[in-house]
Amino acid sequence: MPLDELVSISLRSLKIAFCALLVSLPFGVFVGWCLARYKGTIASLCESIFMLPMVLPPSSCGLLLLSLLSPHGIIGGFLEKNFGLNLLLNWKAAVIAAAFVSFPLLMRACQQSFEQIPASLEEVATSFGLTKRQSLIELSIPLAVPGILNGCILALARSLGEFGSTIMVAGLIPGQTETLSLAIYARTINGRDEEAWTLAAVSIALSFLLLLINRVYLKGRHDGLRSL
Amino acid sequence: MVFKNLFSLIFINCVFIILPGHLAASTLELQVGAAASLQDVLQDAGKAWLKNTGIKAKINYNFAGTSTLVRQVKWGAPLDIFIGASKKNTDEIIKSQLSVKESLRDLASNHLVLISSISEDTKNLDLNNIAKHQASKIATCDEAVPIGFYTHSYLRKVGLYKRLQPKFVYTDNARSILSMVANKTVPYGFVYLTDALTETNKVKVVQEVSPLDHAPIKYLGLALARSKAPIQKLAVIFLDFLASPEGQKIFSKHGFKKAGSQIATR
Repeated sequence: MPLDELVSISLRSLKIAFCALLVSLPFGVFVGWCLARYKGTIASLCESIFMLPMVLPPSSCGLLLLSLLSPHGIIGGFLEKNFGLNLLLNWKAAVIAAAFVSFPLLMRACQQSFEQIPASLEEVATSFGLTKRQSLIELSIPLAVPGILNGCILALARSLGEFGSTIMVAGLIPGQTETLSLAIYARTINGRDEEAWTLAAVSIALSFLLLLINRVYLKGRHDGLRSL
Repeated sequence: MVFKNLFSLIFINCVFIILPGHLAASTLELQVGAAASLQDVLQDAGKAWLKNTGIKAKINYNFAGTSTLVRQVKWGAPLDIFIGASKKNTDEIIKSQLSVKESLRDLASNHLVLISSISEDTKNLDLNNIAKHQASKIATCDEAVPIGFYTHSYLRKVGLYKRLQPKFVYTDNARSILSMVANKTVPYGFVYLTDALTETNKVKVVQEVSPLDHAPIKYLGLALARSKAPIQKLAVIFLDFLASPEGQKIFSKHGFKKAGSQIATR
């Protein structure tokens, strides 16, 4: 397969994964923090709901997003009317899909990271006159950065592999929404095995690299802690 | 003791779960892999066949794009009958010697049509307008899939392929094109006439494509060689029924054209 096509598909996958991360990061950090600080029935309920995309059949995520984002759906209709924004069958739709399914990984990592920071630390900060928001932004988030980064890498890896809901909401449009996983699928069912294998090799390498980075980085962190 | 009971319980359960499966397998089962656009007609025809002949058999269907089916057959999927929507794909199976000799049956033919969702304004609409309109999209398939092959060769012939190509949204088979247009995900798509007929309250035909502008659309059936001998025989009997006047009546009821009706033009 032509090298420029391979490169453009890979770069597009990375672009979509990074954009998805940018979209879900603020929510992931905020929800993760909320779930770390507030416990109770409602929190557990919310947590279960937010974890859903991770275990749901990707096709049902796709269906859900499709009905929300279509110009006749709630969100899609609103955006189309007010901003002329179309979130179906383009790369933005792929970003939304990837953000949606990778969100639980990010949220969970943030939550665990915040849970390791005692709530009393924030209370002390507020007693010194910081507002709650300041104590979150200036104290807790910097302390939780390693965990958040860990979540970011996992979410990136998950986004790179996203397939089911992407093909439903973003469709398979060569040159626009064709990510690595979509390209591999299309080439396999259409009998272009060699190209499929080439793309699969790239995706394996990319995902492996991300997991390796995550591992090395985590290990470095643990060693660092031990040396303290 | 508890464990012993547990094991015997598991064993008894296994017997109950596996045994019915074996009993069911003793009645004949036909696994039919067929082009997605044959979904309704084949189920009808299968029912009629079992009813009319009194044959005690069960027909299981696997509907997919013809190219997907070819891959499945080549990978050794447990299929007894293959019915594809193009000669090219059927030839591929015959060449790989995966079919029963002399089992090829010409079953039906079809038309290619351009459809849009029913709410789309299609007054004075033609492919040139669609090509000009920037945001519009057309659902289609890869050329390995028959519907994609027919569509693209038609567009090439009329010189619109290059201009329309940026608007293509690719999917798996004719039926998924239909559903994308029916649920308004994509405004336009090329499907077979018979597909369009199944969703007349959601899609409408904008343009019929002349059958002279693309290779003849043919549904060809094959019995597959990997099945056991009695099943192979049954498969051929079923294919013969589909090709018989009785079977053809069911095909034409669903809007299919007579088998071989396009061959005369080539």
